[in-house]
Amino acid sequence: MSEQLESQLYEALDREFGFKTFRTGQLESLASLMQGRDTLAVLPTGAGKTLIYELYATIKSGTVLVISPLLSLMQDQVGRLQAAGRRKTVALTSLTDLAERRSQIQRLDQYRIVFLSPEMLVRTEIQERLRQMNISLFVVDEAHCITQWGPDFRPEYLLLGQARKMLNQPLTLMLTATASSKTQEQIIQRLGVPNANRIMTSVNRANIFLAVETVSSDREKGQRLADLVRSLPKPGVVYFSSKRAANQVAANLNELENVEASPYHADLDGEQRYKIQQQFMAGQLNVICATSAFGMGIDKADIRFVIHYHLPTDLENYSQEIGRAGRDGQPSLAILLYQPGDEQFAWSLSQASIPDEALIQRFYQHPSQFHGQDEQVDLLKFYQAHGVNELAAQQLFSDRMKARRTAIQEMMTFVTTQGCRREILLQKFQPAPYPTHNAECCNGEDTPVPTLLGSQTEQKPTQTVKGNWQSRLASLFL
Amino acid sequence: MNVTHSILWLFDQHQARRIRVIENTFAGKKTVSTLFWGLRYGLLPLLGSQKNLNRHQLEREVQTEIDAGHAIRTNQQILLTPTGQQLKTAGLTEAYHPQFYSGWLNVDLGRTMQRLLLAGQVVSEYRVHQSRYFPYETDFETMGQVKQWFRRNKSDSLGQKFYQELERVLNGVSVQTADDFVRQLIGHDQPGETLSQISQASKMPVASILAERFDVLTRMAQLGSAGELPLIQDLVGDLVRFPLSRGAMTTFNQFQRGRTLGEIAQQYGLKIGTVREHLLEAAIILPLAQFPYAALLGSRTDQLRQLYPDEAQMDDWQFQDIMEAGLDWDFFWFRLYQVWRTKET
Ligand SMILES: [Zn+2]
Repeated sequence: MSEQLESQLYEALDREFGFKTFRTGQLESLASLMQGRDTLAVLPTGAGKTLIYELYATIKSGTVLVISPLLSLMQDQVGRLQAAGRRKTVALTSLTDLAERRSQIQRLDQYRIVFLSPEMLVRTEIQERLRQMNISLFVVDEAHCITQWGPDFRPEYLLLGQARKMLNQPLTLMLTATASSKTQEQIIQRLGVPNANRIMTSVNRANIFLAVETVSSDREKGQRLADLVRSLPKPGVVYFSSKRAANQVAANLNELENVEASPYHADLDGEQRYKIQQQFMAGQLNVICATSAFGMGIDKADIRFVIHYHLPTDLENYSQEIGRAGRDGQPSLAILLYQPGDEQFAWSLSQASIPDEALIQRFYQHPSQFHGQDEQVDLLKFYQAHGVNELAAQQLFSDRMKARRTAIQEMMTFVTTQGCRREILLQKFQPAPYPTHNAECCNGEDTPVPTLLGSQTEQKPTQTVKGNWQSRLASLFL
Repeated sequence: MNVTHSILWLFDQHQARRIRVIENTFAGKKTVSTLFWGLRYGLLPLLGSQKNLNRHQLEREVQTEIDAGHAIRTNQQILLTPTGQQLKTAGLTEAYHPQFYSGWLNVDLGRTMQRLLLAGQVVSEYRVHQSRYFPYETDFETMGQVKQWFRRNKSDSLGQKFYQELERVLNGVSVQTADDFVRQLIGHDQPGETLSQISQASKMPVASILAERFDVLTRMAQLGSAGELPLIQDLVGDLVRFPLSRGAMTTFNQFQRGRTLGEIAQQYGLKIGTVREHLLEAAIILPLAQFPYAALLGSRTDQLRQLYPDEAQMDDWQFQDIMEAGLDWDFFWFRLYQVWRTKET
């Protein structure tokens, strides 16, 4: 990187964001883009991935196009950018109503950053509009979704490569927090950017102690969770695989002294989600019971623990979720509660979105008989519409099943190992060498879970305004 | 009442109900079929009250009740079991009884609340001269409307006026309702409480908290229309609605002027079936006295009364019986009679 480029970037950072230093990976990624190179940036959650394209948008003329699979996160981000005074930002999603969307599309070239869901990008009228514009950067956020198969999976992600071609192959930035080397290859191949520059920072989060605890029953698991939540410094996040469990456990935890917990998942409408996020940020809530499938627009630096109540379906999800803890660099704890048999539940979740052999066969024989809103049928329709025949579909889905099974096995290796868990986790994402195991690393090798955590900045939930409705109303407006 | 039982109130032990109808009612889908069954279920005032209701969620909650033995599913319809009915009844005695239920239909409750939440936050932050905060995220239409409203009304006394108008509204409801409503508002350093948090605090089901909200908003719309809340009227006045669709209103007005259905169809280039649907919509939504059932049905009334003597069994009436009696009538007459009988009882 030339000195001139470096100082140009630092100047922009100070001018636009008031920061003096970049976080790991930001400067390298920006420099790579400024040199006109397609870039794959694998940066940990909380590393400030968005700053890369936000800053780029202020330096280069034209429009930055951001493709993101998580509608709620996109809305959050637009809200955040607008709150920060960056008004020329818009999210074009299926949530926007038609008339409004039309006027947004008309004015599209006036925005500096345009967020698009993948299903919007593949629409002809939008592609036509985009082709008339000067796209300075094509960003694929959560790029691992191109290969992953989960609730966040969008078949449209498979068409991103094609869409990029249609737009005359603009400069491309691929962002992800967690991508194994294999996933990285797939991203690069599917987007058709073989010469992409890879910027990687270690996914290792040294300040997070990794623990797995085995329990023998549901009851014991619930009890253990309550003990942990009671005694650990807060705030914290507990992850679940089912909304129902998240609701129930949140209600139970709420009974504990000094614990204010709330569920947080896709069943809540925008109003409730906003309130829960803001309460958590303000310290009125100190425990969030979230489902793994649901992206959380919360960037809270002082989260002290992340507990997994159910077994994650793969190490990539696990790594991303524990990454919410300790963004302030302070010692934090990731605990996975494992009950023998949990892998069956994880497996059934993994399978749920994948059509089996019989369904594929029936579908291809009588496709017109299938309608309604079944997730599996939607997938099959998508593939069929894009020229995938039955044989290819059978192969594709059986490969997918195998891949999901392998992913759970890897997760189980992490759970059952007697050795260093951190090493097993890191092996998935980066080449050796790995940090040496020690007392602050993990509870493998007979290492106890540290108790020092209780000593620091303990947060008690702050009180909400008390009094009758008149005084509450007065505190709002008078 | 346990909060998890809060959807039981949407169902009944003796009337099998379709989840789809309830969902469409919440979503505000104005097909004659949704309107008619919404009327039959007594849920019509909920029309369009929760546009973003997640249908899978409703389905899941129903399944939870079925698993718990509080409800059963027959032919895609849901019936409460005796236990379910008991829980519902017990719950309803503790639950909130709406004061303005029939008036809910005349206000776009969802959009009114969105505007109020965002406007409240803007006023509250403005009062403390705060311009950098995390704005309540809602649809762009609401954000645009609130922004313009704020520009029109910005002044040092904005907070004071906003407070006074809300106080005026809330003085007209119970202390509990006022309290539960104010907790929901968003402002400076106050993120607002969620429906389920308020539900836990007040030991009432979420549905009750929502019903209180709808009552307050309806009361607000009434006072607003009467010119008593200039500031709030400027914010949400356009969301008071006449619940009839434009088409139905036109057809009904023409019909009131003595035009026949055929003439109306011809004049507006509509199919006769559409004209009939318009009239049914008007019949379902307008108060009983405003629709000329007897005049329209004429001598058909007596024949229908003979064919369908048992009004308690109305949900099971078969249109088939009319044809089998050798009468070549359109389905319209059957349904119109049903609407009438429903409204009379
Ligand atoms: Zn270790």
